[in-house]
Amino acid sequence: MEAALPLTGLKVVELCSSFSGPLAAENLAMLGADVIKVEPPGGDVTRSWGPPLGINSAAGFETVNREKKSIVIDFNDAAQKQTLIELIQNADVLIQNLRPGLTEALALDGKTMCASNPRLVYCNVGAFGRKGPLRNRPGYDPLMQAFSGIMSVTGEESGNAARVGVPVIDFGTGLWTTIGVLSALFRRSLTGEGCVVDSCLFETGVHWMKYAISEYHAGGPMPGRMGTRGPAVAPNRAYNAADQGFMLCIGTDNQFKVLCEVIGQPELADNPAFAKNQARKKNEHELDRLLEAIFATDTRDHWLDKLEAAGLPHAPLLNISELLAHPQMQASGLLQHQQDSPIDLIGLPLVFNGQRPEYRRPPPHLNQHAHELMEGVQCGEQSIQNNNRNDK
Amino acid sequence: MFETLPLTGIKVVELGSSISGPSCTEALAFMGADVIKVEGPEGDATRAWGTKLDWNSAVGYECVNREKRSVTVDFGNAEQLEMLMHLIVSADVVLQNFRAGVVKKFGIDAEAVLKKNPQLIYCNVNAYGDGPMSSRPGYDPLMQAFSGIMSITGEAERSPSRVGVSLIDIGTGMWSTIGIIAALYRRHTTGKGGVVDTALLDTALNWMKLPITEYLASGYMPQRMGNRGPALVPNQGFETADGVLMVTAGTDGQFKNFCKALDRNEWSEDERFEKAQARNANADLLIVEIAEVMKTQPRAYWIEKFDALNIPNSPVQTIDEVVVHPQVVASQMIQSNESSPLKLVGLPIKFDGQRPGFMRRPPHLGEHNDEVFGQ
Repeated sequence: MEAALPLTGLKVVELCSSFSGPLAAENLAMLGADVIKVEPPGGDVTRSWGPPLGINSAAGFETVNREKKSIVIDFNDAAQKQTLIELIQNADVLIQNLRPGLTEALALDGKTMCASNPRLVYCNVGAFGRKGPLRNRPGYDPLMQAFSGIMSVTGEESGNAARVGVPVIDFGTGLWTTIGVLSALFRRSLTGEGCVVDSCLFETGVHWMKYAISEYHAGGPMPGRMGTRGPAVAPNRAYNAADQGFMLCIGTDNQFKVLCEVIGQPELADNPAFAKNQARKKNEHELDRLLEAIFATDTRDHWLDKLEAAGLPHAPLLNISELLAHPQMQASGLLQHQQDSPIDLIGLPLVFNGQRPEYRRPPPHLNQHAHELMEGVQCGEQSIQNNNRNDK
Repeated sequence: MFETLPLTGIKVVELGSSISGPSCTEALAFMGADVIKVEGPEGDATRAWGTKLDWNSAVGYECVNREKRSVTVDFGNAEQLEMLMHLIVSADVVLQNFRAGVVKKFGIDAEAVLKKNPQLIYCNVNAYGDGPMSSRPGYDPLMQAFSGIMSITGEAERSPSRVGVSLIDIGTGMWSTIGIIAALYRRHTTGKGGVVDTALLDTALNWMKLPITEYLASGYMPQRMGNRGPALVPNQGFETADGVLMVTAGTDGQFKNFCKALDRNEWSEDERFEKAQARNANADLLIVEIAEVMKTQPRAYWIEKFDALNIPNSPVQTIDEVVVHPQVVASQMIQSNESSPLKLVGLPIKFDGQRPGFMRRPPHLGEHNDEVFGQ
């Protein structure tokens, strides 16, 4: 599989910390690229996000730094900075998410680097982007969830705005960055020219809201918090059976007709108040009352078996330990093992010709690859000592 | 920007409906690919999702089908199926997100099509992927429930909540985009196409990477925390006199400035709060104290104070506030096209400083039948 990975042979330099940029570089690494993670002498801040793992790392770092090599570079040391410039001049891709203005101050910005290496795809992962009154602000996932309105549509109808429990902005920006870099590389394979790619947390936040924003522009109701209820189609929410809850999601009129049979009310499907999706959406509270009363009469397993047999979309509400124990999770092969890795990690949600890229290299110890990558180059004594695993 | 968009010249056939598949091909179209959307005679189900529009469309359809052409094909009609096969074989990329088994039934599955054109990239957008649930249909909210995302979203003492945006559907569209472009890039060197598989479940599990890693590392089960973020204190929303303001002042330096802004300098010398770990240990106490102060002044007062001291903060905005904010306007993420009645959100990527434009409005059903099939 390794030889067949799509980005084999590609050299990537990562000047990133936190989640957004490192996730993009990890995606490229999982797709076969050779990624060198450049860390400051203290290491990426995520090395202390979560309980310590005893290897100057924590779950926050391990989660987004597989398949990479690590070197430490002190930007204030002229010789080390020169080494970095040489690395960049030999690279295909650079991804940076340093604070606004820093790469310009260090003369490591896209314009300067592309001038000396015109094939370079240089990617800025920003916070608010390069325009607008907030362009110099730093960005954090929860703040962008608030700013973009995502929190205004998440949580219970009668409760407070809630944060999405997973980093939709940071990871989402990592995905858009990956998409931008790949498109630019594809273009380069035809023209020979690199370019500067810009992505940012804020724009990712706005993009997540595209449906809600379109509704707003169409003059529809202002989307609000709806608890477990989804927009656009009905019924589409969690219902309580006699014992536990489950999600039900009816997307088409035909599925609704089958549902009416499952619950023993076939005449409902011909009722003009419910027959078509737009009518069901309009009358969904009335429909909910009907369904709530019916589902409360029996157990979750009873209803899930019936829905399963009828081919209707449903799901139990699982927590993490229930999820990891589920046969479908185990069959997916997405949780991957590597003998030198202290914990199993989630792989790429992509399969090429039937095979998922393997887990090859665990997240690097800080400066683990200094000797391998900078043979003969001056490197801070301090940082070399941080290396506590033999070079591989 | 490039003289042309990065995927100019790439021909894509979309056999998709709903959100996941169409949002992938829309991203490819944004970046210059020529996307032909194939719909059944009655059209994509999203043409009836959300607020109804006058031209056999609805908001659900409009927001993921820009920059495409539409043709209708009746799969039960042999002649039309033959025309479709001809179209597919001449493409660079085919994407399908039908229910399991449908493409095979019509003889347009990856194996059949790649035999006729080995250079083709064929992307299957699956629901659960391989495994005991492989034949089940998948929907964004179901995957949010199944993957545990809902178990960690919402307020602590209340029920799990659904994430208010389609992070599974659009996320799967993004992973499909990544898989397709990576395969196109490889094809340039090897001359060979291939099959890309993505799945809603796999995307959901990828969103859960961090909590799953934490759980496997320490056995810690993340809980619902309302508007509170993990690891840092303060990192959450506080009620002001007129609305909620989110504050992330996690470093010791930021906390010191935060105390100054609240006129509570003594906190930053209090050993219970001075260092990040101490703030975590005494979070409940500290949060109550902060909440007391924050509610005494309006949101704008705190924003001005915090901005002056570089304390990261953001109002919890509603959509009507989002679309008119000067930063949103300056970003030009919300784009217009003279033939589109609706403004639509653009691609969150710029190439050489320019965002791909809004070139073609979402097509009416079958608008391009004649043009594509050359009647």
